[in-house]
Amino acid sequence: MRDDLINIYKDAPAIFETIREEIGKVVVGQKPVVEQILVGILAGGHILLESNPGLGKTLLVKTIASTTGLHFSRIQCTPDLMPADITGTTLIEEVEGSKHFRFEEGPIFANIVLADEINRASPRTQSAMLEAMQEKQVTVGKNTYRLEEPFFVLATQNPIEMEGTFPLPEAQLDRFLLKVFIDYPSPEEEYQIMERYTGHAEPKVERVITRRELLSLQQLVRDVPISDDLKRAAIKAVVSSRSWEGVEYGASPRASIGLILASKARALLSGRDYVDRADLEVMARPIFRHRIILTFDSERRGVTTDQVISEIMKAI
Amino acid sequence: MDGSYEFLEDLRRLSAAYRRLEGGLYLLNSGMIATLIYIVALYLGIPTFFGFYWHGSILAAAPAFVSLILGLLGGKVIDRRSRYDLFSHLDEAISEKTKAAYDNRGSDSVVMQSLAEDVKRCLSTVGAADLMNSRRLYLGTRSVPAFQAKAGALLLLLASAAVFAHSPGDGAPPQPFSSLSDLRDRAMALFADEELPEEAGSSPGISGEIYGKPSLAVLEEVNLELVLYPGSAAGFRSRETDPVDRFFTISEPGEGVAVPTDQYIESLPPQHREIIKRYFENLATIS
Repeated sequence: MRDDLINIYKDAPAIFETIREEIGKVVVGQKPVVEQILVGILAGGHILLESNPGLGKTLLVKTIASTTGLHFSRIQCTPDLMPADITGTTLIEEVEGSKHFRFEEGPIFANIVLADEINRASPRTQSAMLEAMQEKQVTVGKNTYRLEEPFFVLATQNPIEMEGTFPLPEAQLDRFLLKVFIDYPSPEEEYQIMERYTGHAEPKVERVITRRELLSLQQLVRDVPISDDLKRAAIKAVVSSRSWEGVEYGASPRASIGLILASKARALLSGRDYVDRADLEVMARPIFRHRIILTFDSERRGVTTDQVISEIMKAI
Repeated sequence: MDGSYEFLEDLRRLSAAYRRLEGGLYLLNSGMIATLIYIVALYLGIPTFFGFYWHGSILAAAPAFVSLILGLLGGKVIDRRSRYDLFSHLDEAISEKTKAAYDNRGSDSVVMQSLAEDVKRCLSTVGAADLMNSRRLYLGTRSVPAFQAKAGALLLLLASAAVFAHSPGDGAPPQPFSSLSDLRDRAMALFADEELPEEAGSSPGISGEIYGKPSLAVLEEVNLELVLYPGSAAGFRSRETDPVDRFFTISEPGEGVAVPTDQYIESLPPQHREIIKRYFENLATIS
C-alpha cells in the first residue's frame, strides 16, 4: 500500500498534466475552473457550478468524469422529480415463482453524479440528496446503502432564470465544498469553441486515471503538510467572516475544514509538497462564497461576496 | 525539537547560530544605549560629582553601573519587541516549507518524507550570515553591512565617551561650590557698609586677573580658600605702585604651608593691610 502511494506520489505531476491535456481537448479555456473542479475532486468534496446557460457546465463535468473512468450518472432536475428518482426504489420481483423485494439503485449510486440545474428540483428532492452528500449513504425504508468511494456531486445551477426554481437552503449549500463560477470565454476562446464544434470530428477524451489511483491521490492530499500558522489563519478567516461588517451570516466550521483540505489539494495539484499562503488565498473564494450571506444593506450598495472575502483574506 | 528527520539537525544548527546572533545584537544594542546614557551623564558632570564625594568607594562607579543596567534593560526591550522567530528570517520560499515540515515532524507520510528531503536540501545552503535580517537591525538594506555599521557606531560612541571622560581639567575634583558660595555671600554682607577711599575707584590700569584666582590661607589650622569674586571687593581696586619686596615661602606644588600672620600681613601692600587683616578677623569669627 505504501509502495503504491510512493509510486502515485511520484507520478502525480504527470497524471495531473495528462488530465489537464485531456480536458483541454474538449473544453476550451476555463483553466481556473478546471483547476478548482480537480481540487474539489481530490479533496473529496461536492461542487456547485454556477454560470449562465450555454457555458459548458455539463460538458465540463462529463469530460472530467470521462478522464477519470469513474461511474458517472446525470440527474436532470425538474420540479416534478421525486426523491425516489434519485435514491432508487424497492421493487417486487418474482423469481422462480416466489416474490421478493429488490432495491433498484437510483442515479445517486455512482462515483460522479451530475445534478443538472439542481435549483429546479423541489426542496423535498433536494433534501434527499443531503444524506447522500454528507454521509455518503442512502436510506430507503429500513435499509441503508453505502455509496461507493469516491463519491462526488457536481451540481449546476443557472442564476438568471429564477422563475420556477427553489433556491438551495443554506444547510444544503454548506454541504458543497466549493462554489465555482464559470465566466464567459474570451473572443479568442469562443472562436476556438466554434471551430472545434462545427466540424465533423467530435473531440474524444481518454481515461487517464483509475479509481484506485484517484483514491490514493485523495489520501495523499490529506497527508500534505501545512504549518500551524496557516491553520490558525484559516480559522481566523472563518471566525472573522461571522462578525465582518455587512455580513448577515458568516461561514460555518465546515468552511475551515474545507479551506484546509482544498488548499492541500491545490498544493498537490501544483506539484508542491506543502501548503503555502497563496493556496489559502486562492481557495478562500470558492470555499466561502456560498457560505457567507450579506446583509440587505450590503447587497443594496452593490457589495459582492467575493469582495468581502478578499477583504477578509487581506485582513488576516 | 523531536523527530528523526535530517532537516531537524540543520534546523538545530541554524537555531544555535541564530541565538548567537541574537545575543550579539542584544549586547550591541545594550552597549550603544549604555554608552549614550553615560555620555549624557558625563555631560551633566554626574560621574565627576560621584568621584569627588565618594572617591575610593564603589559609589564612585555608580553612574557607570547605572548606565550599564539601563543599557541592558533597553537592549531587553528591543529584544522583546523583535520576538525570537527563526523561520521568519529564512528566505520566504524556504520559510513556509520549513515551517510546514517542522510543524508536521511527527508525521511519516510519503508527502512529509519528500518535504523533509526538500527542506534538508534547502537548509544545507543557509548559513548563519543569511539569518541576519536587515529588519532586525533597523539599518541599511543589507544585513552584513548593517551589522558592521551598528558595531562601528558603538565603537564611535565608546570613543566619544572616552574623550569626554579624559578631557583636560575634568579629572580634577571640583571645588565645594556650595561652601564657597555661602562664604562669598557672607563676606559681601560684611563689607557692604564699608566706605571706600576717594582715590580707589579712579586709578587706571586695573587688571581683571585679580578675580577668580584662589589663594590658600591657614587660620587656626583650618584651610581656607580665598577667592575674590567680581564685585565682592565692594569697589576696591588695585593700582600700580613701586616695586616692593615680598616674602614668599617656598613649598612644593600642592602643599599648603602655614605662614606666620605677622609675616603675611607685612608682605601685603600697606594700603591693603588693614582691610585684609579685618577680613581674616571677621572670617575667624564666622568659622
